[in-house]
Amino acid sequence: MRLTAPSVLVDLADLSDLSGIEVRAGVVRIGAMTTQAECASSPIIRAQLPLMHEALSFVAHPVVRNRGTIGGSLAHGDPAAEMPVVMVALGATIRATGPAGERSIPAAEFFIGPLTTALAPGEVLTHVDIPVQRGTWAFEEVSRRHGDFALVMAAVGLDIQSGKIDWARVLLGAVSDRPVRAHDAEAALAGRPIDAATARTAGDAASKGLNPSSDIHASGQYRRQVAGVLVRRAILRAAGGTK
Amino acid sequence: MTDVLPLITPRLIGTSVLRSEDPRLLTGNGEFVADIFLPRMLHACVLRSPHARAMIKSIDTSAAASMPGVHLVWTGADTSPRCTGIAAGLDIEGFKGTVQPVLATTTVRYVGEGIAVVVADSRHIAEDACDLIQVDYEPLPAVVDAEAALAGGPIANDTLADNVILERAHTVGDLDLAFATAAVTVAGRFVNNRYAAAPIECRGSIARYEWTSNQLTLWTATQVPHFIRSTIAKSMRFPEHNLEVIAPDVGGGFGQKANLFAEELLVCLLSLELKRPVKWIEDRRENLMTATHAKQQINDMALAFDADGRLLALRDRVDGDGGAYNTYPWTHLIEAMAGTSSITSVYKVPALHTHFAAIVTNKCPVGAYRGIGCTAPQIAREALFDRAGRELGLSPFEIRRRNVVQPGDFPYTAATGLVHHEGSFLETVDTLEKVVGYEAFLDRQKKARAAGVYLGLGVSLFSEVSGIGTAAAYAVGFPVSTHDTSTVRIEPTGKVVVTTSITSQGQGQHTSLAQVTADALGVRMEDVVVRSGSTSQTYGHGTWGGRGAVIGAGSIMRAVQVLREKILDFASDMLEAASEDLLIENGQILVAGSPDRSVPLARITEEIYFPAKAHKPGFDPTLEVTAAYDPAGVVLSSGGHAAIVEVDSETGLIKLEKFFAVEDCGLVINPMIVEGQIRGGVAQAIGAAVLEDLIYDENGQLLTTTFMDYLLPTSMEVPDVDVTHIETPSAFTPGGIKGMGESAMISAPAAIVNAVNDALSPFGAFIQRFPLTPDRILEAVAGNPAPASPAL
Amino acid sequence: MDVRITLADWLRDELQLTGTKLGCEHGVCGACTVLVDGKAVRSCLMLAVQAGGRSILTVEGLSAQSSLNPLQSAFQKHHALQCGFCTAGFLMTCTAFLNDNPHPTKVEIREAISGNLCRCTGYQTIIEAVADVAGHAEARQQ
Repeated sequence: MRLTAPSVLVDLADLSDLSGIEVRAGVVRIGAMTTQAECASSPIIRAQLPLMHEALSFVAHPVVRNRGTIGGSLAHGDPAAEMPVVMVALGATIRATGPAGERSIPAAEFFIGPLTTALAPGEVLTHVDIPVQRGTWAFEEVSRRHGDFALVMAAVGLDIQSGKIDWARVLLGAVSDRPVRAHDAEAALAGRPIDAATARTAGDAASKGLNPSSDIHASGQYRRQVAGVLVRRAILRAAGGTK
Repeated sequence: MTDVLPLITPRLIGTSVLRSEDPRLLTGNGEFVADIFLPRMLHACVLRSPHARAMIKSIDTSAAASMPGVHLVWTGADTSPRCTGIAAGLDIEGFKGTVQPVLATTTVRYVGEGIAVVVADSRHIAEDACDLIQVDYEPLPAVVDAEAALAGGPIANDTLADNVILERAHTVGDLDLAFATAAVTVAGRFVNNRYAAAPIECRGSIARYEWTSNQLTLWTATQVPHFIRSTIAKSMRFPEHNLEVIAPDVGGGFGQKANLFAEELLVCLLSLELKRPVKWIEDRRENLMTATHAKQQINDMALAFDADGRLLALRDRVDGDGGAYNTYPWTHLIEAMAGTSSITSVYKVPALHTHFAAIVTNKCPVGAYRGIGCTAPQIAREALFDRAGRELGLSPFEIRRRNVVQPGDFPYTAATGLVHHEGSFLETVDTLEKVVGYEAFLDRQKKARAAGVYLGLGVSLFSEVSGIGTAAAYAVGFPVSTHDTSTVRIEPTGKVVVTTSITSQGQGQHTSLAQVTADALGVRMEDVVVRSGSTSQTYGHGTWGGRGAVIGAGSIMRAVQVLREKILDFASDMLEAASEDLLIENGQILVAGSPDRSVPLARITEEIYFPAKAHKPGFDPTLEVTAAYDPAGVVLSSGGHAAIVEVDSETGLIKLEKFFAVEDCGLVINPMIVEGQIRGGVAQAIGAAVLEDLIYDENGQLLTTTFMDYLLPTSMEVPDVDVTHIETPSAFTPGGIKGMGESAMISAPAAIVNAVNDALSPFGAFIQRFPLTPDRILEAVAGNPAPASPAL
Repeated sequence: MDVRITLADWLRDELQLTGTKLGCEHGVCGACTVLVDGKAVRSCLMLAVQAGGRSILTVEGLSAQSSLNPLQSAFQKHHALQCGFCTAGFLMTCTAFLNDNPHPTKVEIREAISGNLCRCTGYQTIIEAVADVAGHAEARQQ
């Protein structure tokens, strides 16, 4: 589409060190060049990071996932993409290396604007470290068509102890220039029993305060309204099952 | 021309013969324009206007021209002396013609209009060089809103006196009385989206000029090669007999490839200049910006019913947004007029008033797209039928049942002037109601609603003007004549070669017309081959308007008729039997009632080609006949559609659960192909109703120039389609064949809209703005302020 | 080789293997799908130089010299193509899919082809063709 004309392109595909999935000491490490398809079919990710496994099925189409890499989708930083939301939701750490050496960047600080990340010029994203998932999670997304970028997405994690919500994590995507953690919704969930009213209250709390932008596929008002719906649905589903 | 109807005994006709086209296409052996590589071929790239309306103050091509690998850079100053462009007019009083230049000269009138062209050794170099062309524009206010353009303000195309190509009204009966005495009046203002055929193959053309024989050959992705040739010959003043236009395999047309394009003229001019083959292949962005748009209309419609739910009157005002130029041959009227001229469809409408305005804006010109003109008014009419049904307490089936032209009414002349000679409209309604299982659906719908799940059923009935020739074109308002021929030749070994003007963009005519030929002549399928796609063969207007089967079969049957008579006459001597006692079956000439007396067709043809002694004086041994066919009247197919949808009232997402089609296209040649046309049309209809929208901003910038923004339906959005055939033969076409293929894009969007309104009826939804985006669904759920008054 | 040449352009322009089609050149339509080391990829989104040392399978490699392979035959039998422009992309996507999942359900087939656009068929017959060649009772009936 002639959008950019780089003078130099470096292909990382043959750097085998940057590819692979392993779990060690409660942390799943995924190499940047691991494809989305490899992640989607990984038994490690299915077992340890079911949220990521579920969200990967929303990433474009199988053929695209055969080429798309986890590092690419994070470094690209598209606010309507799924993986940035998942990484912030799960408290992942991005590992980068460059002329100044290696460093770790918490996912929550990595995405700083539309298609903009904390990677410095000359730095390469090498791995992402994701703590084994706590609690049960659900991922909800609406898009115009199956596989399209999200109009809105929500990831909700709950740890329910003796019928009460002991811990909650609520993330929204495509409603801002980066993944948004819905602290108000988390507060609305903390210590509450899980029921429809709680879910609705938390959904409303997540929606309030959002100021998403409009584009040709959905208005900001739509995104705000539906964010609450998806959070509510994700809460009920996270609470209801193992996903 | 059709007084004599050739007789035919269907044998292969009516069976789903597998397509002879397929092995080639399945193995990568198809040859589309982009696949053609000629020696010494150069590549063209067109620089396009980033402004909707602007003066071109200057163009500097020097940097581009001096780039290595560049052979030529042209602007409008170079093309305009060679060819004035696409002069598109119609012989209708008051109609304003336009001329679209090959490349813009002083003014650009829509985003994407060609400004300059680079010809280079490769497409890559040509694109790079385009980036180096400096154009100094003086932007002018863009005319983007059609209704505002109609009212006045800046003139979108400065060669015209105002922004109207044609405005015309048609009235039958006393509308005021009908609306004054109506028990129920329903009205709405339906704002339809602009969308495009978007075939997966973009446009593309290669021209090769060979000076020693003054021969110009144009390979182009077109539905209408003969039309392109005649038009290029005239507009470039190039001798028609030295110009061959070839449509190779074409990757979908749907109407978009059925008119002359500036780029077709451009590559011809470039090859004449450079004396080398020049190839131009459109990319997707260009296709979405420039390869004609379609369907954008506002329909302000009202229907009046009596207390029994019988229609008294229909009023429709159409404002069509046709873009900056008329396409040729269709013009703006392909949308603005074509819909109103068949608006009464299968219904009895005692009083009718239509008024259309074809409005010029600074947008891509509107061209033909499957279901031309009809899609938007169909949504309006069918949505209003449902609304009236709700007010009258009649089901969508019942209110339609009460209003269709009844079996005893034929021939029925509609208020539009169209004559229904026959039809199965009542049977269609009954069949649809049965196949959808209406009672069971209502039960399911009720239970689902109780659980907060919103299911809806939508119905739409259609009539399709098909097999379009001269009579039909005039009947729907286009003073256009067509002429189509096929040639049938029987070879010395009895094999049959058919060449026809009917082109293929995937409809499988090389198979279906071979079925027709085999049955008409009495030979085996494998002994027939059908060829088309070059102007070196027979003459005609190509494939569009559901004309392939009707006109292809009509002309072939007429040619075969002559050949049969000659063969049988000749055989009667050999078999010592009267020719009227002879028949041809499976390539054998048989004497009726005497199974032991027969002779192979190949024997006869060998005797005719290579007689043992000279033929009798006066005998003409030619076994090649060319015949024309142009239907004597308007061939009307009909049927109905039903959609079942589930609407998520909280996210506004629509899921098509199931789709039903009842299709009556007369005698069906190949059911598999007919069903394929319906299923593909339904997929396009889902795009039209739910997904596809070519959105311009207030400056006339097109915001949807990729397949990420312009959303075609995928396999996840398109449900299975259940097809039921009804066969009511046409009274006057050979074999009773009627055309088909357009119906789903006439009528299926209306069925989807009605299904969504039905699903959301607990919210009082009555959606009048399309496509049905999630935003619009949520607005409808929030309480849609639907107009209740009939004011027009 | 010019580094910027995509795999699709290289197959078509240099090798003249024109069975692979270009429908959008931005990775949405799937017409250019080929198999790289057995995996279906968009050849318009991959540079030719990235294919160095890898095995490429295009539509031209699907069938023997004079007969259609079972998937191709099923496409013909079920009328799973009309204009044929998107067809190579569907065949390649489905070839890889059936290698990974020889006995899919119709739901899985529908999802598997959702990244390929067809403007002619409405997809139903493509799904039926794949289900047929998979030869799985569940796939045929579900």
